[in-house]
Amino acid sequence: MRLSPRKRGSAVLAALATGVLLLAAACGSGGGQAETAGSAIDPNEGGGPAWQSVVDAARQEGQVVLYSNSDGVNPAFEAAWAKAYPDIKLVVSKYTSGELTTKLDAEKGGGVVGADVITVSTKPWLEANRGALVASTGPALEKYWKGSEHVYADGAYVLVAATPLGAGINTEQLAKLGNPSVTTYKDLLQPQLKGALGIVPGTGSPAAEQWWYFAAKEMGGDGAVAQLAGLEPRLYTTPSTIATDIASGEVAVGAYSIKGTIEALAAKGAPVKFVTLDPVISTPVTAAVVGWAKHPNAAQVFQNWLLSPAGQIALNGSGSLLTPLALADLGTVPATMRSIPDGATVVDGVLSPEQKTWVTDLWNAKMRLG
Amino acid sequence: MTLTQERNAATGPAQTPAGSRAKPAGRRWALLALLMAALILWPLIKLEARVAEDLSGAVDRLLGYRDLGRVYLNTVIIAVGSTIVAVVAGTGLAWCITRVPPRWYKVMSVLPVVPLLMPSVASVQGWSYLLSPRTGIINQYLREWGVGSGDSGPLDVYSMTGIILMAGTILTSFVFMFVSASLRQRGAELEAAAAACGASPWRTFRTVTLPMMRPALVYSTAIVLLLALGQFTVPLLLGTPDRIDVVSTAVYKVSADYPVDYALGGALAFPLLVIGLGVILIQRRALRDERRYVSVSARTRQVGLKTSGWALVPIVTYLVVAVVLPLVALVSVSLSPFWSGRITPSTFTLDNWAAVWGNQNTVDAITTTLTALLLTLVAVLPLSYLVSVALLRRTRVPGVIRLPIDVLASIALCMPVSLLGFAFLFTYSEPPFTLYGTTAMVVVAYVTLTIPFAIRPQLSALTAIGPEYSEASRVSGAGSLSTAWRITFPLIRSGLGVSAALITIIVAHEFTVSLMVTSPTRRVIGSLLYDETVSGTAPNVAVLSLLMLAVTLVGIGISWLIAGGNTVDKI
Repeated sequence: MRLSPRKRGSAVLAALATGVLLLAAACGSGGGQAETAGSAIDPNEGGGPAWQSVVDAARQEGQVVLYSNSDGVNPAFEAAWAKAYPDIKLVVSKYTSGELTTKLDAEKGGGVVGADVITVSTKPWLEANRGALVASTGPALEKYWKGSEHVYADGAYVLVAATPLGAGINTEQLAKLGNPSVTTYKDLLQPQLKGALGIVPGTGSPAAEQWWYFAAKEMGGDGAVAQLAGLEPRLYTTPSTIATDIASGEVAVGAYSIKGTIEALAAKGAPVKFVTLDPVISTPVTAAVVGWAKHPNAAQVFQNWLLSPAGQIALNGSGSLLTPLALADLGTVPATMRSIPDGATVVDGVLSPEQKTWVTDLWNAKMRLG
Repeated sequence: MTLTQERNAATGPAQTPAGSRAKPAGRRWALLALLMAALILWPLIKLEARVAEDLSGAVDRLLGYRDLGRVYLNTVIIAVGSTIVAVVAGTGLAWCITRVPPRWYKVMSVLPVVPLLMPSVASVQGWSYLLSPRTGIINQYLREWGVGSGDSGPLDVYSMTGIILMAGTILTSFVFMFVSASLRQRGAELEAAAAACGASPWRTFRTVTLPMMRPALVYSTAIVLLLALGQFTVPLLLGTPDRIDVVSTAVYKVSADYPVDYALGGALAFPLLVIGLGVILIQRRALRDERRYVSVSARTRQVGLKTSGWALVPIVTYLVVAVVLPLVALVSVSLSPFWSGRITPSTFTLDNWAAVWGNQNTVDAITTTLTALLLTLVAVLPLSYLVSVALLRRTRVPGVIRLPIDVLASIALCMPVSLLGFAFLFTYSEPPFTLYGTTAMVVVAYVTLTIPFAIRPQLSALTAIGPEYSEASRVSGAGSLSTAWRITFPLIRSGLGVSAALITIIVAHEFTVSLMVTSPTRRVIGSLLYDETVSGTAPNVAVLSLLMLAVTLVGIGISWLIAGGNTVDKI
């Protein structure tokens, strides 16, 4: 096709203008982020001059890079950090569990710019790399976590939250199915849910696979897995992707859902609700500072903040995640905030030989996972 | 009249440099081969070394891989199925173009290429909103109209058929490009003669047009089959709910499992490498034969052919299916508070756009993408020009150097992109490169990925202009550089523009390799989109998909300026 020079010019302008218009539409207004009620307690309280010099150095570094696979690390969490440390930019990168550890493996020997601090659910990686992690040097670890069973490898990594997984429900779609009750793991096996059930099978995430191991026990044991597979559940990669399809009604019930994600959609008007399945089974959110951090001081300040009441409220205040600390130790906290209940199962991602066999021979086989 | 000239490449008088200059020239081409090897072969060697470290274990684990046969079978079914769809649809569209009324010809001839501008991830997302079994908008309408029953179906984009049709639709433009170019080049005299002798349009197509298109069909089928074998985006996004894995997605899943079994991933993808190399070698042989013939027509395609307004229908339908419908769905979702399975204009809001743009990561990713695109253009255009010159039969390059250059120039095509991403990651993250976290790493990866696509348009342009002008320039005393700058570049400007457009499209749409080679402090739009797909919301994914399209359009505008004309048409 030949165009006259004038038409060519117009066509170039049209292509550029369309592109620029779309970009301009995006920058039409700034994005607002919800503010969260924070803690009045100074995260650096109890830190001496040495710690203050770390904080000063962190401000000089001006940035901290967080790799996370946790849904608790959301815009509200980032806003809380920005409010606490406006001069230290938090760069967040979200990955699925396997992708995250792959990135870390690639970075740890290379001396390259990457993660400074991580929150992961993969304890095996943390254990295998404990020598490459740096224990928190801030005052919060000693002040709030002394003697805690959730501090590992002399403080090299700490369980900072537990994510209770449950069921997301599309109320309209469930009504079409006759409103079957969904409150326990066994309820997921109801025949009405055939073709209307979605699950996140957790492939690539040992913690998620372990979650299903315990959930299957609650459903009734190994036979329940075959029953579940018989319902032909749709498979999803993450709680976020299943939440989208619960909201649209593509599935009526989505197992392995996260409270915060479902409730965020409900707040936008989606006909969805989150159901805590009984008993609560949670996956871990474990935080660590990596030894190859390019912003080592900012990483320490971030880790200290996360371990302090301010960070705990930012991460767990909405109640979507559970704090390992007793609420009484945290001062004034939001009414929605909860601690991990006594006796609740928090998987650690370390698959026992029995669990490995279960995953390989039963779960993956019945669910036809690779 | 059609003039067919046989060009004997090796016998042009000025194509043979003086004997005294042969050796230094040979060394220069050898340097080019070495540069290509360092760029493309080195990551592969590093990767294969990882496989070789644990070969027997890798084979054992490969044989024990669950549903291994099913994975390979799925790969073959999807590759062959989508190739058939693309070849039939692409050829049909190219034929339709020859039959459209003259006043529509200019517009219609460019429409089937427009879908190339649409990121495949955006198309897939758009169609998932349209054809999800329960909430897909089209499915809901069909059920309302009495087609299908119950709460689900009748169509399902998350099925083998859905994946094949989706991948085939995306690949149709590639086939159209090759076949349409071939038809345009060859003119319509023979079809006109057949029509004058009373042959029906179908008989003319079957007995005249189709045999004439055979070289282009073979070439495009080979290319499309390679692309289909390495398909990642469509099976990843549509295959998960119904457990449809192909080699690329299986490799990706292996890579996302801790600890990463690189040997198993390499072993899984090995058959694709072998097939890819085989196809490239066969294609190289076929292309070499084809280059000996250059057809020139004195008449346009339309003259002497029966035209019909009906020919517009398939072309417009393709545009609607490949671009308009998914785009409308994406725009609707991007303006909705959440994806509800319904388009409700009364709820439309710009909040999602504001939130995505309010995220500094978005601005940074767009900046990095455009920077990487410009740097890739700067690196690839001269490099691919040199490779194209080396591949010209008339350029005196020793066979032992030409063959590796040719193979190296195409090898990135036959590698599953997910595996290629890992090869880049582990090569350039470690010393002596240590590029991880830098734009340089992104650029090196993009250069390697785009070289095969940048070479072909320039090679075609160089083949078409012949050696005469360059020889005249050299005889008049101009050096190689001066001749290239003052004579060759202006003559092949449109070829350079097409190369630039293809580079733009690949870079702007790329997300598989980007996922591996980018870091949080150095993201591109593709990696950001993938992250949002995994852990974000549907409206934000829609916004980013549209931003990806916007970046593509800006890049196409730049390539348009380079080419001095409509690159989309020239593609």
